[in-house]
Amino acid sequence: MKKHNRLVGLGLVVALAQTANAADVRLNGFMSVGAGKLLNSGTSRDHLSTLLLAGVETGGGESPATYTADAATQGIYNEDLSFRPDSNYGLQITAALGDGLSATGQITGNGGENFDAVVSWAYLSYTFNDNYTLMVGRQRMPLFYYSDFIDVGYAYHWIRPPTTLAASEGDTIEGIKLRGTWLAGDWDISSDIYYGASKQEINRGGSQYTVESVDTGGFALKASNGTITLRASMLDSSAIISGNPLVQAFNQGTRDNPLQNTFYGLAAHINIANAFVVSEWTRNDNKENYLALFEVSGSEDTTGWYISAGARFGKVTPHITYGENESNYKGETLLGESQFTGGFSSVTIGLRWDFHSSAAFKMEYETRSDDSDDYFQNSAGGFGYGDGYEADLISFSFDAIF
Amino acid sequence: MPFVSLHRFIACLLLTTFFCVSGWAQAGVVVIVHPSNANALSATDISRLFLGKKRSFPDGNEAIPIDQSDSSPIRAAFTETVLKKNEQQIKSYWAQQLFTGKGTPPKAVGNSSEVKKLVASNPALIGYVDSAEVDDSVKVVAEF
Repeated sequence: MKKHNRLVGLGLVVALAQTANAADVRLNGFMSVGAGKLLNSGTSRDHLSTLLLAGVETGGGESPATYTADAATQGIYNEDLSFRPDSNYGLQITAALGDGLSATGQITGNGGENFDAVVSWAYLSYTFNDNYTLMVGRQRMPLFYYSDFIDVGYAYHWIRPPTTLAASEGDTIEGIKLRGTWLAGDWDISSDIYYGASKQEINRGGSQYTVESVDTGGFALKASNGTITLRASMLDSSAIISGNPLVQAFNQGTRDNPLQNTFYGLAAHINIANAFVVSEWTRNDNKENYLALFEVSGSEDTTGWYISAGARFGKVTPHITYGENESNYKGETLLGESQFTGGFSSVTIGLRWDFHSSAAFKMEYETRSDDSDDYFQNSAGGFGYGDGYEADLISFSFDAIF
Repeated sequence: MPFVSLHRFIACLLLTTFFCVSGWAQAGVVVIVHPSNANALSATDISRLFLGKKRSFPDGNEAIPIDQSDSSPIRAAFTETVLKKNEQQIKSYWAQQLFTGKGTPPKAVGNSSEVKKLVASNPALIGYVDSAEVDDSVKVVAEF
């Protein structure tokens, strides 16, 4: 029924686009068809196991490591060739209503979610003058450099931005965003300040729950002079969890005691002649980690960064990327304290070939090393990550815009 | 032997560069506005207008840039010389702007004579054309 409604909605939007041509309507879109498989993978241990309570030392089941290409949409590669994790599409309709007012809807679908159509953006935009634009409605948050256009593979050189970056749980809000742009000498300065809320269903490790983000606010500042682009961003959010009785039993993620999430990002992009270097550092702090079911209280901070360089030789752009990710986890459990570090480093080499004026072909090889504590013991028993990040991925994609 | 080929290589490179430059010079990209438009525009101003970073002329009046479509030979010369981006970079730039609500690419028409016709009839418009196309109906504000 839900799906049916969505389709009817899409039909209506398309019908509107046809009838409202006089009101300056643009229809644009993008599509990525990607495929990949793991050539090699380590062994992942389930670090959250009910066996803990029984004092059994090994932490649950072992399984081959997987590669999460798109955490937000559960796009995961394993040893079988899959066309889903990096495949997606988007359709955007913008109606310019005159005097600086416009209405935009963007529908996207991801392979990891069976290509189901979801509304990623639905907002009204009002441009006051050369300097200020107000956007009200559903929109992606500008978290890291590529966050708000991460779906548009054509717009960057990789198949997917580095997965070493620290990701916050949500990427979309319903709210208000004020965009300011200024010229200062040779520099273009822009600032996005936003505030809002969101609600999303999470399906993780077999448990399903609803995360309601409230008091979500942040900013992104960017300065560019054509050669150098510098960017800084921050997000602060509180989350209320429902549908997970264990979490609620400990009064975590309730309206009185919401979970705190803070994200910081810094980025620099340099473009000289045909060469470019881009580097980015991100950090995500979760207080009261609700994902670990056995903690009374806990915290997890993740730091992730990368540096990437490439050069354009006509239509071909070879590139190389190195990145690291580290999560420090501290928890107070029913049975004692626990603390461990998970993380990985990654090297990617890739090639982008602009074989068509509106489409590119990309191929990449990435090798990841697991830097996690393999196994540890404490009063609560024993558990660890294993080599859950150990994976070598080969992938390719076709990315188009229209 | 390596010396000979290096010299040849450099000679080839210089020749290629010469032909490229003279090729562009022959194409003669000029930026035009309506004859009643009294604004003086620098290369940076023009670039900012065509990249959607500015929406008005220095005198405060609305500015609407007119692009040429992919098939127009003069488009690549304008994009590389004035906007300092190649085909792929300008498309990536607009994809990024468009799908995040930061801006929409300029409307594009098929060739220089269509641009001239539009600019001659509307003081808000700014376009680029082949220099051979210029006549009294429009005013040249920059030449590349």
